[in-house]
Amino acid sequence: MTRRHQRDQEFTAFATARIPALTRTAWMLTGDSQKAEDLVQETLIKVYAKWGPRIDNPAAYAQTTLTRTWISQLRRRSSHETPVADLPERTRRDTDHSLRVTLAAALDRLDPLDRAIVVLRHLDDVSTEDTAQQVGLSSGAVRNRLKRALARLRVDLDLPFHEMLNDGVPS
Amino acid sequence: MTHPDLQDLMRRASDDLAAPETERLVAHAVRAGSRRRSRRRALEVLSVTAVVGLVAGGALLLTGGDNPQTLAPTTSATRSAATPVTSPDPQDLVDKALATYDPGSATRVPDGPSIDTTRRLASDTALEQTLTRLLDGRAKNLTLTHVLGSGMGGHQADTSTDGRSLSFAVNGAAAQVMMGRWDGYDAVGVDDSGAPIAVVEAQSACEAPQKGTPQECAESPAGWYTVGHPNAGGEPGGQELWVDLYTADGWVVRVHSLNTVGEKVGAPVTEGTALDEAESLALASSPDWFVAS
Repeated sequence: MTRRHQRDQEFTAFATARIPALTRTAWMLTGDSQKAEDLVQETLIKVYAKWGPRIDNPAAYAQTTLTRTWISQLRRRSSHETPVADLPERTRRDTDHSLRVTLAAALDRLDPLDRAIVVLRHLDDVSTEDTAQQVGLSSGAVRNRLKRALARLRVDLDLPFHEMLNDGVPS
Repeated sequence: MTHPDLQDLMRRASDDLAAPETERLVAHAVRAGSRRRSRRRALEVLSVTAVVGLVAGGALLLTGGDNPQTLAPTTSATRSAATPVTSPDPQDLVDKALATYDPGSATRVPDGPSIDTTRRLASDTALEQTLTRLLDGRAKNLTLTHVLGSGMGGHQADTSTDGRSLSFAVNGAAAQVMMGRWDGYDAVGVDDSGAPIAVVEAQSACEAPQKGTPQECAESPAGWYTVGHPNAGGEPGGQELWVDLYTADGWVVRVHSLNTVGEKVGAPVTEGTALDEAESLALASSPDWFVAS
């Protein structure tokens, strides 16, 4: 087996396993199923371009790449583009459909960086320090932004969030 | 809705998202990723005589052979000596020199490489006259405004107005020519591993790896350019075209055309966009937007 063939096999196995998690995060960030797929696609291209033994933790590398790519894309978004919470075409339960729309709308009202921090911390379980590294902020800034974002979500989603407000966030 | 766990909420909300076509995504990633690997290796080979260094404070020192081009440093600069090297990848040199990515702040624009140029934008009157002449008088309702000096980017602390924007109509359809710089903070970003990256050549600036979404670019005598047909939105039949040209001396010119009177405004008024791709590239490539410094 050539080195190229082996690399492709390893990458394919990794990507196939990670796509669901990446798609979930991408959707939470973009609020749009098509944009989420585009973001996942771009992430996978970049991961493959750097694929090799230097990547110690491919899953973490892919997640960082996805977050960084999305943040960078925000800078190129033209002023007339407005994120819209797109409804996935296939849903099975009305309850979760409504939940998805409500959550997407609430996340969309957050500052993009705040949204990324909430998704990383509460969907992907990333530590404050790793979150800070991914979004290019200090740990303190991440904590402050998270506190602000959760306060906003608390109002928008009518949830207590008592434990989240105290979770790693200085009072 | 009463569930208090945000994590559970988010996972429930995304549990039955429509799954993407995994095989297609992976196959495309391998194809496109392979091209990027090849391009990076080609850059390493072609750039063995290029030397890049960084002056503390953000200015970039670019040399080639025995002809150093020293760029004006920012404040608190100490100059590092430029030494010709034959083996290191210049991109690695830039990355190493950029110790950490600096996002700036609400009041401070971050530093970036400064590309040398012997040109500046012509006067407002000259720009208007140039446009009128280049389009043989077809440009109507011409308006010139001063815009961000960073031609394609933008930063919350950037209040510069060194860029120019000419808005006009051709046969009723809206068009615009914008001019600015692609160097400075807009030339700095992070690569896919999160490491700082700076672009210092027109091709790289056009492809914009530091902005996360790579562009397909082609070379022309005036520089490297990319063409886009974004979704114009609005009413059915809406079309949009942009051509961005990046010059070797740090200038970027964008020509933007619609087939409506404004962006997402009304029905199409022309069959195609105000300017086609060839006209747009010719407009972007004109040297007459500039005068000697």
